[in-house]
Amino acid sequence: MSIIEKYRLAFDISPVPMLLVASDGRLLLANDDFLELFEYTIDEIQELSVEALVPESIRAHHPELRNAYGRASTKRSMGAGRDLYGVTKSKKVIPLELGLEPVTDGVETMALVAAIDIRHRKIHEERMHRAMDAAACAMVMVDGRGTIVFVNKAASMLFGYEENDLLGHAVEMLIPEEFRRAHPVYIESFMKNSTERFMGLGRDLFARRSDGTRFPVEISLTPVDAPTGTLVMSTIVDLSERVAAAEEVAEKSAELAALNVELSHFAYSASHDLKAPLSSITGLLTLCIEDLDDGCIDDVRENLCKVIEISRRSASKVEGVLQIARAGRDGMPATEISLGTTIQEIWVDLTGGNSTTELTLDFSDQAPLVTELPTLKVIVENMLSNALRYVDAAKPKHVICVKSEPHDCGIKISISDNGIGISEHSLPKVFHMFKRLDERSGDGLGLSLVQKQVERLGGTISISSIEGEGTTISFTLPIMETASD
Amino acid sequence: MTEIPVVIVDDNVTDRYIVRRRLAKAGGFGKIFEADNGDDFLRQLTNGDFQKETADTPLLILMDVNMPRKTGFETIAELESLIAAGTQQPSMVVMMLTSSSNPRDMEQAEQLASINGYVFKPIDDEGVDKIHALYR
Repeated sequence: MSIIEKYRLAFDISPVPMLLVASDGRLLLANDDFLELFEYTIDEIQELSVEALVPESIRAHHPELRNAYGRASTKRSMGAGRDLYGVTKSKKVIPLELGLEPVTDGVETMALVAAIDIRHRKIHEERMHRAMDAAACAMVMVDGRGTIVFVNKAASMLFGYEENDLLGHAVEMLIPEEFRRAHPVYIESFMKNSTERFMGLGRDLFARRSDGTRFPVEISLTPVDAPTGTLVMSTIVDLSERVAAAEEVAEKSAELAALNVELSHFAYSASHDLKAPLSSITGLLTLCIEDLDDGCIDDVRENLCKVIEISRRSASKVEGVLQIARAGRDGMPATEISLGTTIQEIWVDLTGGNSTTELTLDFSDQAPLVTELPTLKVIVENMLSNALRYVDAAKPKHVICVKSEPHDCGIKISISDNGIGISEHSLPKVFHMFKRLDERSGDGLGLSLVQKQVERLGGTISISSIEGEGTTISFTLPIMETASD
Repeated sequence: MTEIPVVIVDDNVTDRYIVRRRLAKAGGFGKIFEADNGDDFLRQLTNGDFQKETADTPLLILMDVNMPRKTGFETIAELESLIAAGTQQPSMVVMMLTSSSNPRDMEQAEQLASINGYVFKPIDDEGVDKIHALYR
């Protein structure tokens, strides 16, 4: 009995399409299932060579592959990972899974082929891939050796790779360099004991984009059983935004805590400093009533004048506090300002035009300044009035110098004096609201107000001083846009 | 009855005036010294400026809390370290003078051993009675 006769019986009872191919490619035998799949009759197919059944793209190359198999034939599946297709009589191309087994009649080695139609499987696979592509979170599937076998669209986008740059590569390409070495060990231990879980419990995980940048991620791992072994599906959630939001919240709450401290400091100082004049007034008015009863009209007049003076100062202090409170919100239109003229005007207001202190101006930046005039006036007025208040009587000549120079995209203005200076101990406190450094201090609002206004305009303020030599306060202002109407 | 010598330590000239007038009206007080800050007070004290007046009656110190440079509490703390260092000091009664009823101020007053009490601004007859009670 020829080998063909021997196999015919087996073919007829085989539930899968079977084919026997001669070493020269002639088709020797096919069962009914195979014939039905490829739409041939047994007579038709026996006229053909196996090349008639392979896709055109590899038809020319196929005899070579066939000869190679003939020389070293083993039982194996064909194609090793590649998609395989067959062509039917009506030129329909169908995806196949192919098994190869060499058989010999002692003279010739033939190939026994089992061909399974995987159209349905392909449809399911594609449907599943489409579903995973539609998912918002990134999915990467790897095999037991850590080779990427599937990525969805979200993963390609998240990591910045084309799908083909990822498939078939080691998953370590998606991991920052410093974690790569340890990763295969993790894969191995997951494969040994694979249950659905999150990766790196308790640790911060990072992933790596194609451009080398890293970002925080959360990764869940699910083992998936496949015919080729266990695969691992990892679902990757980009935490960048969540981490950034958390950082922002932490920053904001630190800011709020600082504000709260400032507020409680303010409440304490305000309760004292706004209450103190009222108790002075109460004391003076009580004395006035008693003096009236005693007929001491001159004392009454004198103390009432003091009361008026205290009330007036208190009112302007309240106004100052309100100004600071408003400084956070209200802006004013910016205008073009001549710094020199503005400073001269303030100087005359402060000194009445006759002061023993000499004012010098040193403007290296002649360009007109564009900012809020009323705000600039408040700032300069406070600084000049401080400089005037703290002249050093021991020095023969009192000098205040206002200097302006270009700075970044704005201007830097410095006001220096040769006054008594401020001790190192007191220097950090000068911007505190209500902090008066000595009996010459004003209401303790000035520099605090100045700082708030400078910061509102987007500038910074700094102070340096040497006790006995003098003080320099500098502030920067960005040039603003003139108000357009 | 011996008259109580007083030193008023306050940076506010009006408040010193109010205390001086109130004490004068109440009576029972002797020479009244003034200092416009803590350092000024400590200087006068170590100078011995109060020595002559305090032979018979302890010196009453009315100390403002909220002053520039040194607060009333800082001044008293310094006074205590002077006493601890063994410098000869007159006997004294220390009353804090404050317009604030801030509990933090009162807590601080309790912590300094040499502070005998506090009087609210503006000082009135009740405050004066509080002082007299300490001298009885």
